[in-house]
Amino acid sequence: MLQHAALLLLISSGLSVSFGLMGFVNLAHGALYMLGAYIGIAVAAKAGFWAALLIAPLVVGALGAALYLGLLCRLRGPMPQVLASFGLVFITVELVRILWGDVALTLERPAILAGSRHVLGVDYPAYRLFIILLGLAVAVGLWRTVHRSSLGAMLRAAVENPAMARAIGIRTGSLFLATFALGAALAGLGGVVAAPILSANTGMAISALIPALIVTVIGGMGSVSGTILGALIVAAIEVFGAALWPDASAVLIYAALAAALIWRPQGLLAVKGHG
Amino acid sequence: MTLEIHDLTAFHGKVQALHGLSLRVESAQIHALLGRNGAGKSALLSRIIGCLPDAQGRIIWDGQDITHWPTPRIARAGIALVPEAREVFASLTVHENLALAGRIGRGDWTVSRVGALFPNLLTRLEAPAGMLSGGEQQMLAIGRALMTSPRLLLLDEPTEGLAAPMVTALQSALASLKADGLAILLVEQNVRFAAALADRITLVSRGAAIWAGGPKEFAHADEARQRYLGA
Repeated sequence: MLQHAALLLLISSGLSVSFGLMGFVNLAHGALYMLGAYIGIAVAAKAGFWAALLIAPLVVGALGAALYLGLLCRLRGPMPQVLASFGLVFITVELVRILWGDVALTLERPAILAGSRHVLGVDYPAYRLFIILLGLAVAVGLWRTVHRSSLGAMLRAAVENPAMARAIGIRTGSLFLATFALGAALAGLGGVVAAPILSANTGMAISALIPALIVTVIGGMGSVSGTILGALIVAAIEVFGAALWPDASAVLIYAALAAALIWRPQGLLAVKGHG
Repeated sequence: MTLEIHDLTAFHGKVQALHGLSLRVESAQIHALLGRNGAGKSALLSRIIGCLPDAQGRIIWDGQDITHWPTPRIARAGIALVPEAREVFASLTVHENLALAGRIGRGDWTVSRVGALFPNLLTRLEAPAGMLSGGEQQMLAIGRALMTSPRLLLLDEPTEGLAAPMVTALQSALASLKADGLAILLVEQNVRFAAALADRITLVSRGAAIWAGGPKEFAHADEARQRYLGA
């Protein structure tokens, strides 16, 4: 369950940056995650897993930046963002079909992370342990960046009042571009990390998007700690739901989403000013 | 340093807010802009800081034509705005509001120097700015502008909604900023406050300057006052 939560956290953290912090309704996030997996597999075939882990997020981040500059930054308001970013999902899925074919691809986990490790008296698969640690590291790094660095303060100011932020010298255009690229890179990182356990396929653009959206909405827009909590809740519901009540497991997270929206529509740990 | 504005026009959406306004602000001078609501005073400040694009005319600051510069570049050139609605970053702490603006400052203004000017803020440094009272938010908005090390301060109705002791405190703060050599362009509805501080006064009506002079001339310009301020 923890590794599932950590994987969800990796995917959702990127969405929490672009959708949560910037308020950009980015339905292409799952597509960027999928690209991360495919590009990761391609790089790993030539240069190994560790190079893929580094290069795929960079490439996906650069693609995200290009998309933002070329198309997405011109869109104002949620509806155009939904339509354009959802259109990008179809385009990306088709491109992946053309480039890699419609078969599921797998990525070999690196030798050092094969097998299992003895932790707290139990044997735990090493790769899952790696995912949990990486998820934690990303969450802590992101939390510190958003809440404890001047970059995070700049971003929060620019989201709250872009015109005033510009009037104190913040170049909001480049700031939003960098933020969107960071969100895309985190999606790409999630994709590479997921590839050895889930295998890359074209369905993952949508199948990853929905739980990530639910995590972001349940946790609270733009709240990093909310995203961590949301990932734990959604993972617990999925894992325990599948074990205890398999017939209903597919609807349980939607029921949780509905309950969360009724109980706390602003999210469990919402950031002030995001309503 | 001098701000010179020549024949400036500007639009708020489709409505023309400025109709060929000209004006000059010098260092160590408080220049008050007076006029009725909707006369174009706030539009002029927005235009100077670069928030109303598509302008005609010219804005010259320190010898450079900044008419079409993007806002962050204008801010970095030493022009700071204190907007009418204060617009402090409500979700950031008081300290974050100040420190963020200080990034482009030259370090001559620090959080403690702002605190010396507005002692109320010092006790609230870790509070979210949205929790401050109206008067404290006004102090923070001015402090934030100062943190950018401005040479020209654009103040939009700073006394609005302030209690009398706060107005007095603000008056002495502005006088000491002027003594430091800052140029201040002050938009006010509070004519008495503005006239007491100003070295130069311009009356604005329908987006153009229609009277200009010193405070002594202003005191005797009964007709202009009557006609454009109703006072």
